[in-house]
Amino acid sequence: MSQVRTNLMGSENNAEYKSASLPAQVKRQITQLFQGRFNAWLTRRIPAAAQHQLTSRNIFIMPTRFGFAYLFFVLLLFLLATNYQNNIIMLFSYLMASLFITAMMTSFFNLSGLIIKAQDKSRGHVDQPVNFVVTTTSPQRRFDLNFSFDLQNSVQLPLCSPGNNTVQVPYLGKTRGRFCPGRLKVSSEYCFGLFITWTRLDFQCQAIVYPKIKAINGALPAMSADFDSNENATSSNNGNDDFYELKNYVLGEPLSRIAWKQLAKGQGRFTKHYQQSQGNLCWLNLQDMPANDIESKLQLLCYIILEYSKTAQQFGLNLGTVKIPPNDGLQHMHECLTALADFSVRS
Amino acid sequence: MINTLLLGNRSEIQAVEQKTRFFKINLTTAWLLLFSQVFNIAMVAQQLSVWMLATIFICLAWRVLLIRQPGSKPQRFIFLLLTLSGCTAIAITSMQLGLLLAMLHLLCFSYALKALELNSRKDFYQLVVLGLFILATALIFKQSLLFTSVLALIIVFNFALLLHFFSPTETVSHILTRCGKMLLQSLPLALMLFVVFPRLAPFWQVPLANSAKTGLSDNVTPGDIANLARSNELAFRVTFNDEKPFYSQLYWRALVLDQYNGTSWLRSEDKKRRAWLDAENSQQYIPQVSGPSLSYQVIAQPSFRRWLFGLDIAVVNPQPMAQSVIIERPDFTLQSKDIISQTLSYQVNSFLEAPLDITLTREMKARNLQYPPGSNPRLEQEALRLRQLYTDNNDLVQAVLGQFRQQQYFYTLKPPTLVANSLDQFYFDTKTGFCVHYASAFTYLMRAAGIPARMVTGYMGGEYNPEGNYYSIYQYEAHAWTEIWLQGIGWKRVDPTAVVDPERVESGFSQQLINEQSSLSDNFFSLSNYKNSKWLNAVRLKLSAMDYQWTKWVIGFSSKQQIELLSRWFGQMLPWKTGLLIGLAFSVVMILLWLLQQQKVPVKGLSPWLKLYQKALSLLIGKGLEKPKAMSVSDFVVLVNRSLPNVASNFTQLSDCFIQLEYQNLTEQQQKTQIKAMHIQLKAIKKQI
Repeated sequence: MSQVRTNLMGSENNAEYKSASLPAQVKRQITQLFQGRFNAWLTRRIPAAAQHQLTSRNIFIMPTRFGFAYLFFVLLLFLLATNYQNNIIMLFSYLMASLFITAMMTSFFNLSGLIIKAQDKSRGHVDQPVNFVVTTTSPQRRFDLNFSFDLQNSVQLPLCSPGNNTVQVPYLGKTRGRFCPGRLKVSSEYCFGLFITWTRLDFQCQAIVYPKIKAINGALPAMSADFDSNENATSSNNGNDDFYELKNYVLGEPLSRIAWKQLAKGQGRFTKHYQQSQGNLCWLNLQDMPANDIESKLQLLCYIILEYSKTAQQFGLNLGTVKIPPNDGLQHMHECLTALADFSVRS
Repeated sequence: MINTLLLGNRSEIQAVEQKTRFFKINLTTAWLLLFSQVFNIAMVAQQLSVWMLATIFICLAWRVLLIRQPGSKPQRFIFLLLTLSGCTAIAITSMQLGLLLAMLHLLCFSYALKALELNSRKDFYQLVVLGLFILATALIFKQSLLFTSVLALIIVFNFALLLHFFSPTETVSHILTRCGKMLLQSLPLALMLFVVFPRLAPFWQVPLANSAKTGLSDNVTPGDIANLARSNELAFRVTFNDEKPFYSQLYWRALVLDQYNGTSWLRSEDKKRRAWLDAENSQQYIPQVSGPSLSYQVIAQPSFRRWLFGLDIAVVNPQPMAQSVIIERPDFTLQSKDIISQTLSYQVNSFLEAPLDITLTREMKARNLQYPPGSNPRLEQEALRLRQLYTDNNDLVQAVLGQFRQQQYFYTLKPPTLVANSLDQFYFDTKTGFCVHYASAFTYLMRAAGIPARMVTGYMGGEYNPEGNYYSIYQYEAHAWTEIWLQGIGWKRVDPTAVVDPERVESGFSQQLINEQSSLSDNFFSLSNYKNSKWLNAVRLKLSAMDYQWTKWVIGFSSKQQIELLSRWFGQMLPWKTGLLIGLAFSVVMILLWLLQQQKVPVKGLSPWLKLYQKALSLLIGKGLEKPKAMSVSDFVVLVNRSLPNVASNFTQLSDCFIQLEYQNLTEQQQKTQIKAMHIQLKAIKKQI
């Protein structure tokens, strides 16, 4: 899984490296070095687990920009008090400073003790968010919880009531494949926005990103009735079978079975059904997809799989290297789509 | 169906994306913001000009409109116009307002205007901080206990606004209590810092408010002090260290006015210059005094003037030094080097029996005999007549006082107006006046008769507060009297008022004066209102005593007091000791806060329903039925139904409750009823087993 990711990312990185100037390269290397170190430390500090309870071990806390501005404001009050030799303003400024500490404690305890679980596997399409269900458990109320994966949109849970709460945290896949969204960041700026408390938890999440859905207008392309006959014949593959009946055309039926004569006579769109082929299994072939490049073909396949699954038709998938025998149902659909996501030319 | 399964809830994601792009605050938060703005500005409203208040009102009204109809944002150029015109108006009036008030106007103006441009979280934060800053500046002008208490509540409100922003689901009352609690939790450390943290000298000169002068003026015309008598404001407070003098001895001298220009009494110019020079050269006049003395502490309220108060010959204790803020003037009055812009406390020794100026220079004599000839011809004639009758100065004084006593002179706060401040008219025709009338006429007579005399203004009396063992001297106790110089005696106080209205100098205002004062004063808490109601007066005295302690220990807590207090506790104060104390206080507070929070949060405790469920499971184990770990709760119910039919119904209900509690978001009330049901079922199972 991680190999796929590095393969995909690696080529992009190389291209960028060549174009970057020398100082930028150095800068990037330094940040990477630090990031690497930090991540290694993080792995040791907060190891991966299916469930995390937040304690002082895994909670980070820092003043926000507003927090620093607030401290500056307290200093300003102190100056005002000193210059006017005004004890009450002085007391005011001390109170504000002291409140800063109280706010820090409150911020910390807003996260501390929270138990977080996350769904470890989730699926979605390219450019559509893959949602991970995150469950928080706590005996008391928590406020202003924000959940996000690295560089992804965040989801807010304004109030986490006692008991269990769930949120769907999105991960947006830019390319198909299997990805690890990284650590889940849970952050909060409760109570006054002076501090940000956060934690970065590793649930070893995995996002399976299916190809984009490329819709086909009109009828679906042909699919071979039988895997073995696929190689030699496509048009005359049903010649030996006995014609059985004409049925009303249903979206998704192969073009080859359309009763063209009846259609030409204007009697309507029917499909020919043969006695023998009734129990036959359909195969979706990658090569058969009417597109030039592999990605588009996969996108088309993706659409067809979803359409077939909608009408609960049986189908098999043939990607050349990977073959999934015909079946139907949700599990089968996901199996096929996962195969599309995992498909690579080299393997 | 599959699509929704795969794509998740798209609208939810979009909502999140929109949230980051457009800043929008919750409706309740918006109202809280508006109210906090109103409260904050109300605290400084007294200092703002009417036009500024009107502008702020318009801005806030617009803000209300914005809350109700979010689309009605002011157009950019209108906004700009408003900003520019407001700033120009402030700039134009700044000369008249003075720097401090101009800044305050600008602050309030931007605070009100900013609310119309609430586009990002940064704007919101800025508004909150600006609001807090306005509250802080309000404390420059007023620091009384009542004002500070109200201000503290408003601080809580401001933070409640901030808290509500981060927990919009909570009710306002809940948030207010939470903020109140947090501020209370912060108070110990703040107080500790207040006591321990070293007080620094001012870093630079700051502008002071130049208006709002209160109390006595150095230019007195008859009728002036009667105006002052309307005021119920506190002038200063006094605590006597050991014995208390009689009421009739409480003549608090503030100003000596020895120049009469025909209409009003003034301080002589060259004396002023000399006092100023004295202050410059730090060569202070130290009166040579001896005899028994009265020791007391005076806490003067900010008057935005310089003069201070003392009984007879008052010597500041310890002896005035070069850096002292108080100057002793040769006329035995005390004066502050700077304008008194906040409470000033000083220790004084008064020598009640010591003579004032046994000898008088010729220049001084001449000055105290001077009057514009012909300004009051009838009085001059009267003086000549008396002079011919009495050669002895004492006899002459007694004769004048006798006239005041015998003839129909009337003491009132509502004297008839005099034509060009004519003393003749008062003395011979109206015969009705306040202390300044009597003192002016008397001094004039004395001077005309050749006795050196001068007008002294200050306060007479004081209200004793048994709650705090101190005297409060209010503005309505302002008084004027005369000092005449007699050979061998020096300056002698003669108060014609004492003859006209003896009650005034024996015990204070008479009922008639109180009624007059109340009718003049527009204050609800006027004299008659509280002096006539016993319990109201008791409450007032109690509050006043609290305010006194507040003034003495908090407002007046000086660096000198701080050093004294700390060295009494910890020995000589060294920087490392201060640092250690602050560090210690800091860690103690942190630990206390930690414990306080920890108590509330049972971090690792099992939920009560899980405990109950586990109890039920252990009961079943006793019956030989154990729940496999991987089995779900509902599957186990089926198993129990099959193998232990006698407890089946109870266990099914118990499991149902458990599932609801564990997997559904129930309200607290619902949780309680479910847990109760679990208890009942558990008991039943126990019985059956």
